[in-house]
Formats: sequence, structure tokens, C-alpha cells
Amino acid sequence: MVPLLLGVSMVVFVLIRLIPGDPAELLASQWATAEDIALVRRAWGLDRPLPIQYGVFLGNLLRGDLGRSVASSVPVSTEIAARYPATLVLAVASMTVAIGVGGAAGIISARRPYSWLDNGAMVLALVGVSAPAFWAGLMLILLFSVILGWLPASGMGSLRHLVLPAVTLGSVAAGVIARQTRSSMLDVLSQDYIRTARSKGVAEAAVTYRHALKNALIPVVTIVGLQFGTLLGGSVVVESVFAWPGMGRLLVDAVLVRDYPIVQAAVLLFAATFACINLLVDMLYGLLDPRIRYE
Amino acid sequence: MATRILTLTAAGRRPWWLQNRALRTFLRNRAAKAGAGILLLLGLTATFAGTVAPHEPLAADLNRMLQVPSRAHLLGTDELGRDLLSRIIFGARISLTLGFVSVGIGLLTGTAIGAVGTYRGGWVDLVSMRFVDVLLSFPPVLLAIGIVAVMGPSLYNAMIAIGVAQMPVYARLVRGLVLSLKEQQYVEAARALGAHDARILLRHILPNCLSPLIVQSTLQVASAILSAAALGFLGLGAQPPTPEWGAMLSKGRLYLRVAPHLTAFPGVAIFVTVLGFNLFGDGLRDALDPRMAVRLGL
Repeated sequence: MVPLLLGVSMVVFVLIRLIPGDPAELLASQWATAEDIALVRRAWGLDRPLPIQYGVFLGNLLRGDLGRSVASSVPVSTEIAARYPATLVLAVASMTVAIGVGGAAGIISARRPYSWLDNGAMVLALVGVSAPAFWAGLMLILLFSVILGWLPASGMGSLRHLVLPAVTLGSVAAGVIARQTRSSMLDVLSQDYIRTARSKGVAEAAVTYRHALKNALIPVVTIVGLQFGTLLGGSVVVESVFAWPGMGRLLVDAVLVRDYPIVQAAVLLFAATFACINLLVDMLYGLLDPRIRYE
Repeated sequence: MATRILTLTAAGRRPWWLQNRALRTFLRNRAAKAGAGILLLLGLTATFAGTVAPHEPLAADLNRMLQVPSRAHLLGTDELGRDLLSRIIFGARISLTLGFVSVGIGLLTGTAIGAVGTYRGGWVDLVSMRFVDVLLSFPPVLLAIGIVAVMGPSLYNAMIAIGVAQMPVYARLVRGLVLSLKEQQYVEAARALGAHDARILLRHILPNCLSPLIVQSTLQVASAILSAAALGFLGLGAQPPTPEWGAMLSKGRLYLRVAPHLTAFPGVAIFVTVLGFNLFGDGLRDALDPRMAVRLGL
């Protein structure tokens, strides 16, 4: 985990240094003279060797000092702190939708494979996987906000504001989770111990949930963890569609105005969040299957 | 000999193009055939865009702004009076190119890193795989956005960014394949015969990685097209007036209330294209590797 985060910070550091042009020139105002630029270079430590610059960057990072936004001069940490919770709320809500809908669809499909219910659910799952999230979001706005007027089209505040973005963002992950749950459940349901459970008279619901689902969960949890990454990436797009004041929009706006301290911090934080999710998933394996132990 | 003739007659003579088991499996799969049909149609549309499109994709006509679909303009016109259908037809060219080029970049670099690192072992393997692990810990779209941030928003940079973001997937896949293949006896035999490493990798190991790589690539084209459209939508990919579907959608959304067709139709184009690649890829996987299909159950 720690080496991984170090690697991530190194990649982001190098990426930002790869930007063509002199960073000191970018930081100084456009009317700066050569002396001004030299002054900026000294002040920001840009005249020092790269490994030392990285050390300083890392030290600042650990103290939560991410620099100042070039565009607004506000400390980056303040900007991020204002936006991060919104993204987290959206991501968790979307994942809840995805796990609820996708998991249920997968289980129902697996209990009646090749029935019309299964076929319908799998077609829907494929639609969810193939439809671009921003388009799905705009179509939902068109239907539920413009035509029916049931839900707000943009902004954040009440629970009603959360419905459309969460459904939009969750639909892709729901499709993937449904497909994985179905196949994983079908695998387990053909095992001998399921037949044993049925033959000794265990109720079908208990067979499905107690015996099958528990054993089918590991691959599903893996997919859920991976989907969280896709979801964080998708949040960038969905936040733009619904004017959701999260980190994704902050990042896109920063890229467009070349506000690199913000870009750097946002990308780092997204990657760190994803790394934490992956760690959580790894720990869940041990909980789900006591045979898996970590030294 | 006798039994062999017997089985031949029992199975009946198949035409030459059905001799192949994979092809037969593929052709039995209706969804896969639908996917292949969609892709064929798309490929033809993209190739002959100039002939098929009823109008010039960039010809503005301010007398015909934001018109709803009509006989003259089957899908209506956009905010500059350009024919939407023609723009979508030319957009197929851009999206398919984007998909194939970025997957090509990811496939080549990822395979090279995965194959050489794993085959060599030792510190080369260690360093390359740590690097891949670090890249994998970025959500792919965000890595692409980060790269676009550095290189500047444009169609070409979006292709490169998405390609680089796809690289770790291939490196991981190839690593798994090479790890098992390099212990095979025919590889050992080749080495005993004095074949050098490059020859073993290129002639003996990589050809055996081909079918999983083809399957993965088909599915990756779908995700590359989605990512490219997302970048275009965010203004980080193709720039106006390029008729790229994502960029068209982002312009169209400004008129969502008055002209929803500007948003709806480019999205349908993206959706159908991605669906085509997904159906085709799923079918290919089932046909080329039945074990994989059973394991993934997809």
C-alpha cells in the first residue's frame, strides 16, 4: 500500500514535470521579466535537482500542503476539502445503486437461467455497460426533469438531487456486477454441496442466500472493487453533466485552464482513494473466506 | 482408418468454411452475429462516409439552425445548421480510428512490457511490474485525463492518452500468459535447439497469446471508444468543428430543451458502436476459448 502510493506520487510528479515549457514561466505572470522568472524559479525550488524537488514535494504532501491554485490563489487543500466529500457521497450512492440493482438482477438471473427474466436482465446489463454515462444522464434529465419535471436536473442539496446522478453513474457498474453475479452464482449452484443442501430439504431461499451467495461473493467483490475505479473515473463525466460540485468537475476545469497544482492534487487523491478501496477489498476476502489469511 | 471414415460420414460433410470449430461456435451465437453485423455496417459507413452522407459534415447553413428531423435532414440540423446525419456518419470514421489506434498503442506497448519483463524475469520483471501496478492504481479515465492535461486537449493526444491508460491491462494479461507458456516443453525444445530469446518470444510464445489478446482487444476497443467520447464530451478530446460524437453531444446538450435530437442521436451512435464491439467480443471469447467462457460465464 505505502510503496504503491509512493509510486503513484512519483508518477504524478513526473507527469506534471513533463509539461512542455518552463514551469517557472508558467507560474510567473505573463508580463514577468527574465529576472522575475529567475526569482520565481528560486522561490519554488525549481533550480534544484529533480530528486530533491521530489523529496520536497513528498514532504509537503505528507503535511497536507499541496500548493496554491494558479487560477484562484486559494490553497489547493482548501479547494479539495470543499469538493472531495461531494464526490465521495456520489460514489457511495452510485455504488449502493449498482450493488443493489446489479446484485439482485444477477441472483434472479442465476436462479432461472435462460428464462425470459434472465434474458431480459442480461440484455439490460449489456445496455448499461454499452451506453455512455454522459448520454444516459442527459436522457434521464430530458425525461425526468424536462418532460416529467419530477427531479431536479442539476446541483446538490437534497436527496432528490442525488437520484439522477447516482442512477446514471451506477448503471454501468450495475451491468458489470449483474453479469459477474450471475456467472458466479451459476458456478456455485452446480456444485455438489448445493445438491446436498437441497436433498436434505433446505428451503430454496436458504440454499440461494446461505449456501450459494456466500460462496459466490468473492469474484463479485473483486469486480465491485475494480468497478469503483471505473466509477471514480465516471464521476468526472457525471459531475459535469449534473453540475455536481465534486472533485471531478474541479479536475476538468483545472485541466482546461492549465491549473496544474489542482490537477496534480486531484489525480493523486483519486488514485489514493482507489488504492484504499483495493486495500479494503483485499481485507474483505479474508472476512468472506476464512481460508484466506494474510501474513 | 475405418473408424475415421465412419466418423466423417456420421458428422456429414461440412463446407470448407464451417470446418473451423471456433467459427461454427461463433455463427451459432445470435448475439455475436448481431455484433458482427453492426461492426460490418459501421465499417462500411466509415469507409464510404463521403458517398453515404447526404450533406457536407462541416457545411454550416444559418437559415436552417436547430431544425427537427425532416425529409431533407433525416436527423435534423445542429446549432450551425449542419446536417446531423452527415456529421454522425463522418463521426464513425473518427470514433473507429480513435478506438483502433489507442488500442493499438496499448496492445503494442503493454504486450512488449509484459512479455519481455516476464520472460526475462529478475529485476526487469520486478521494475516493469511495479510500474504497471502503479499505473493500474489510477482509474483509467483519470490517467487519460492526467495525460491530456500534460499534452494539451486534442484528438491525437486523446488517442495517445487512452492508449497509455490501456497499456497496463495488456501488460498484466500477457504476463499471466507468458508465465505459463515459458515453462512449456516446446519452448524448452526451442531453447535446446539454440534459438535465441527474441526468436522464442516472437515465434513460439507470442503466437500462443494471440487469441486471448484478440478477445481482450475487441472489448478494449469498446471501452476506448467510450473513453474517447467522454474526453470529447469534457472538451479534452476532439475540438470543434470536428464531427466527433462526444464533442457533438457536449455542444448539443446546450440545446437539450429546444432540440433534444442533438443530444439523443450522437449518443445512440456511440451506444450502438460500443454495443457492437461488446457483442462481437463476447462472441469471440466464447468461440475462441470455451473454458474462458465457462469460467467467466459471460
